[in-house]
Amino acid sequence: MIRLENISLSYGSRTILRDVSLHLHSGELCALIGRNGAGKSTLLRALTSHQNTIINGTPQHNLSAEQLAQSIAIVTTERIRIENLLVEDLVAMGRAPYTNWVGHMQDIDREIVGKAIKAVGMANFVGRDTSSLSDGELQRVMIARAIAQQTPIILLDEPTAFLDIPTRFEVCRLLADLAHKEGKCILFSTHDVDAALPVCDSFAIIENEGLQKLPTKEATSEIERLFKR
Amino acid sequence: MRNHSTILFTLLAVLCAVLFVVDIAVGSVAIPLREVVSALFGSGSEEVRSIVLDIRLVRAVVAVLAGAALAVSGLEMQVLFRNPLAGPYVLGVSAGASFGVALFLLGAPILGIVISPTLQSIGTAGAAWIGAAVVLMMVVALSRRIKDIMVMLILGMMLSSGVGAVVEIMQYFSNEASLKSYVVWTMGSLGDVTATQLAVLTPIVVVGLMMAVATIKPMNMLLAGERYAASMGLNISRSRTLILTSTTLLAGTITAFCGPVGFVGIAVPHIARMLFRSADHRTLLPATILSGVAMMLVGDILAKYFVLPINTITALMGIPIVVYIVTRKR
Repeated sequence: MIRLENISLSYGSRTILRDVSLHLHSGELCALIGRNGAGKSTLLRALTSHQNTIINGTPQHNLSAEQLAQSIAIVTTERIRIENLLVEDLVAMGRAPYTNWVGHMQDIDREIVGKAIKAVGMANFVGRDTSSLSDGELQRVMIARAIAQQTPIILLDEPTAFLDIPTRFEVCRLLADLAHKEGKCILFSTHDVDAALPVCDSFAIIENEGLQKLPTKEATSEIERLFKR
Repeated sequence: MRNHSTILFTLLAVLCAVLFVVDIAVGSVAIPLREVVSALFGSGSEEVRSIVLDIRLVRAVVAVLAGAALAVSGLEMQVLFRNPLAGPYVLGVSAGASFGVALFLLGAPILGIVISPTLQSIGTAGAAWIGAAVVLMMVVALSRRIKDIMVMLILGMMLSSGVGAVVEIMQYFSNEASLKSYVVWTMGSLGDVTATQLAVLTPIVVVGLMMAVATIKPMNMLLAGERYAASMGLNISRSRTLILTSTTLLAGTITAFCGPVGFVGIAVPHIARMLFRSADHRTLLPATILSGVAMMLVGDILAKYFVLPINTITALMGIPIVVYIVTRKR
C-alpha cells in the first residue's frame, strides 16, 4: 500500500533517520512511537512528500497533486477552530479533491460527509460551530474530515495528544475500526502506548536514527525497554 | 440558513442602490433629488447634467469600485495570513504607492524639476501604481522562496516602516507646496479621479475581482492552514501568487488613484462574517463586496457633507468595528 525505501531524513543539520525503510499494507493499523524529537512527525511528512515514497506501486513524485490528495489524508496536531465554520463544513473540506473549481458539493458528497460524521460518532454535533468544540470533539471532526477525503491511507500526528484517558482509548478504537472494517492503511504517531497496544497490528519504533517495524506481539518487549525503564 | 443569506443579499443590494443615489444627490451644490434622477436618465438642464454625470456619477462609481476592491483585498489577506487584523496594506502595497508618490511629488522638486498641475494628477497615480507594482513583484518573488507565511507578514511590516522612514526624510527636505500636495494625497480622495482615469481604473478592478472569484475554493481550503490545504491537493504557491496578485491589483490601483484609504479592508470582511454567519467564501466574497460598497458610499456621503478627507471618515467608521472584533467574547 505505502512504502518508504531507504530514506535518510534530517532536521536542519541534525540527522534524524539514516537509511530506513517502512512497508505498510491496507487494513493495517500501525502506531509510530519514539521519544520526543526522534523524528515521528518528520517521518509522517516524508510519507506525503519524499521522492522515495511509493504509493500503491507508484512513486510519489509521479502522482499529481490531486491523485496524491485522493491517496493520502492527514490529521495534524493543529486544532482548527474557526468561527462560523460548522462541523459539517469542516468535514466537507475533505471533499475538496473531488469538487469543481468553486467547491460545489453534490448529493453524493453530502452523503459521504454525513457518513463520515456518523462514523466518528459526531452526528449530534451537526450544525455546531467548530469554535465551540472541545479538544476531543474537534479531534473526531478532524478524523471525519480525513475519512471524507476517501483515501486508502490516513496518517495522523499524535491524534491522542491533549485528550483525556477515556477519549484516547476511544480514538484508538475508532482508528482500529477504520483499518479493520474499511480496510484503510493507518499510521499514527503516539506516546499513548497503553491505548495503542490493544488495537494496533504493528508498531514502528524509531530509536537511534533507526526504524524497525514489529508485529504488536513482538513489539511489547521493545516498547517496554524504550518507555518503561 | 440559505433563506437568511438570500434576504440579506437582497437588503444589502437595495441599500447599496439607495446609497448610490444619495451619494450622487449630496454635494456642494444643492440639487433636488428629482432633478438628479432626471439628469441620470439624460434629461434636465445642461448645467445640472454636467454636475451630476461628469462629477458626481464618476465619484460615486469610484466609491463603489474602491469599496469593493479594498474590502475584497482585505478578505484575501485575512485568509492568506490567517490573521483577523490583516488588511490590504499589510504587504506594503500602500507603502510602495506612498513611496512612488513621495518620489514624484517630493523628489522632483528637490531635484529642481517643476511639475505642471495636469502632469501632477496623472503622475501621482502613475507613480503610486508603479510603487505598488514594484512591491507586488518583490512580494511574489519572496513568497516563492519563503515557506513560512508569517515571515512574509513581518517582511511586509518591515518594508512599510523602512519606506515610511525614507519618505519622512524626503518630507524633511521638501518645500511647503510639495509637502502639502503629498500630505493631501495621503488623506485620500475619491473626487480626484477623472472620467478618463475611471476608464483605466474600472477594468483593472474588474480583473482583480475576477481573480478573487478564482480564489474562492483555495480560500476555503486555506481556512484549515497551508499544510491541510496542500494535503487536499491545493497548489500552495500558485494560490498564493493568485491571491497576492489580485490584492495588489485591487488595493494598489485604488491607492494609486484615491490615496491610501484605511480600515475598509480590515473592517468590512468582519462585517460580512457577522452579518452572514458564514465561513464559506462563496457567500463571503459577494457579501464582502456589497458591504464594502455600502461602507464606502456612506463614507463618501459623510465626506462630502462635512467636507472631510475620506481617509479620516473610514478610519473613524472602521476603528470601532475593529475594536469590537478584538474585544468581544474575551
